This record gives sequence, C-alpha cells and structure tokens, in this order.
Amino acid sequence: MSTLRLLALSFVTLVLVGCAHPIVITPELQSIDRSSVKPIDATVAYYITASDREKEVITPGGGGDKVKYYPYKELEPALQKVLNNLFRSVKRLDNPNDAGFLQSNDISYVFQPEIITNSNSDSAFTWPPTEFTVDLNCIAIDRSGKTVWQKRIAAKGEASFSEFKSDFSLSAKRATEIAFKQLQTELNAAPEFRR
Amino acid sequence: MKGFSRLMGVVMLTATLSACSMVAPKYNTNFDNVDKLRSAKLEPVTVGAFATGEKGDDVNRLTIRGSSYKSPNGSYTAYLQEAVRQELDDARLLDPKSQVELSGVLVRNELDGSGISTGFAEIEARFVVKRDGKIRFDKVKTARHEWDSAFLGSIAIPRAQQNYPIVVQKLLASLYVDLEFLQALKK
Repeated sequence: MSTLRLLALSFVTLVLVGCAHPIVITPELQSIDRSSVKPIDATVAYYITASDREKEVITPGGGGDKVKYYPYKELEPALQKVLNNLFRSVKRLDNPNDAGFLQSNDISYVFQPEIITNSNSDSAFTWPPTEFTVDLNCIAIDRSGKTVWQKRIAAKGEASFSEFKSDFSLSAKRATEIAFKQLQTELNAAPEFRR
Repeated sequence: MKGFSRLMGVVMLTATLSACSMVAPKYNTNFDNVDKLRSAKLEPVTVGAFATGEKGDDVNRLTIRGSSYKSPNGSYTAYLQEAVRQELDDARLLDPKSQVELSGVLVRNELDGSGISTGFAEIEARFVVKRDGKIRFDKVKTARHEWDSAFLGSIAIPRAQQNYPIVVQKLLASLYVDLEFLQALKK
C-alpha cells in the first residue's frame, strides 16, 4: 500500500476513533424458513410506535468504539417474516386505536414487540462487536384488547475477526436470526392461536 | 501504546474495507410488496430465466468508490431473479409447475456511492409474463433510490452497500402495482 494511501486511511481512522459506527442488524430473512410451520388461518397485525421505529441505539464495540443501529426499524422485516410464515395475512397497524382498521381487515391478533439490545467486543483493535445480545419480548392482544400470549426471548450472537471482516454486523445478525427463529417456534407451538 | 494499537487495528479494518471487493447483502423480501401481491389474489407463478440485455455483463459489474461490489448470487441478473422468487414465495404464489412464467432481462444497473452528499442506484429491467408459452405482459420498469452519502469512504461505502437492495425492492414494487401485470397473472 502506498504511503499516501496509508496516510489517507490513517486520517480517516483518526477521525473515526471513538465514533459510533453504523451497522445493520436485520438477519437474512430466508434463513427464517417456514418448512416446519403449521399455518394459522387468521389475519394479524403488528404495532410498533413511530418513536420506537425511529429510535437509534448506540452500544459498545471494540477498541473503545461504539456501534449504532435502529433495532425496531431493522428488525421489523424479521417480525413481518415470522408472522407472514405463520398467518394468512399480516398488516402493519399504525394507530392502535383505529377500530375501523382492525374491523375492516378482520384482525384477530395484534402483536407488539419490545426489543432491547446490547453488544461488546473482546478486541482492543477492531470496532465491530464480537458479541451481540437481543432481548425480545413479544405480546399478542386479541380483539377485546386482552393480552392472550406473551413470550420473552434472549439470544446471543458471536463473530470473530476472521468472520466479521466481510460483514461487520455479523454478530448482530446471528443474534437476531436466533431470536426470531425462536419467536417463530414459540408462536407455532402456542395453542392460543389455534382455538 | 493502547491508543496506537487501536489506531493500527482500525487502519487495518479500514484498509480491508477500502481495498478489497465487497459483497452486497442478500436480498430481503419487502413485505409491503408481499402485501400487494397477496391482496391481488393472483394465480401461482413459476420464475423463468433472467438474462442480461444489450449492455451485456456490464450490468453485473458494480463498484463503490473503486472497489468491486459483487452480487452474493454470482451476478445481478441472478440477484434480481432471486428477489422475484423470494417475494413470490413469501406471497405463497411460487409454483414451479405453473403454466404462468415470469422472466426478465436486466437492462441497466447502476450504483454511485461517489457523491459526498447523495448516493444513488438506478435499475431498469424488462419483465415478461407468459401463459402457456404466449406473452401476456412485456414491459420495462425502472427504479431509482437515493440516500445521504458522505465525504469519508468509511461512511459512504457501507451506506451504498446497504442501500443498493432497496432499489431492487422499489423496482419490484413498481411492477406489482402495474394493473396490466396483475391482469396477466389472473385467470
């Protein structure tokens, strides 16, 4: 590498040292397949508040740096995938008080996730996290407004330098994939939706 | 010493980012697209071949600030084909035995992450629907997606990497709202 290029890169990294690096934590949705799912003939909705959808979270990376991402916005596709695998139709609910929407779409259940994430790294040299955790708490509310199902899922993903050098978000994607696969398993096994 | 070690580590990582080829994220279904397909009550479809057009293999070569940006499917024609396949599958419309076939040609595929304020991607593809071998739909669709870019490559490059798939989502969205396309997939 030429000296000029190395100097240019060094300048870049000096600027970045101590900054929060953006990552994307959406898992590969195709890995959440529906081959083991027994479909449920119902239309459901999910609700994420506007503020949650825009919430940016900053958690530790390596070398004293941090990573930043949007948990709800980036995991919304994973929630859609799980619900789409299980139920006949899935709608996004923007207003939980919109009785007309719930009725006209014949919504049987509304799902609402709560997502807490964290990360860390055992590396002093590189910023991508080697470990990422997801705490996913999901509830389902029926037409009467009653909570009929609730599950908390904790998942952890890990990635070493040799693995994440081609995908800096790898530990996060592994954690979120585990979390949403588990959510699908729990929903598939829940008798509450098969009455 | 710790600060110097960290700096060299970050230099290594940034060098890796800048100097090597990158791979696009695998396509993730856009569920707004799936909702459009499911709401239209269409017949099952099989996905046919996706080929390159007059620009040949140029459409399969993308770069971001001088670094190669490769498709995880081997080519961007295959990437587009896989995107279509995934969304049809998630809409429960995919059936390899169907007499209705959707195929395509990737006409143009551009990615520009060089801008210091705005990056963009543009894609153009011809979609053909055949029923029992007869053409029922044949149209070219185009999509463009823009995002905030940056002077620093270490910010601009990942943003371009992550935003490219969205232009494919937008392309397919434009197809699924075409009434002639929807009509071609109905009995």
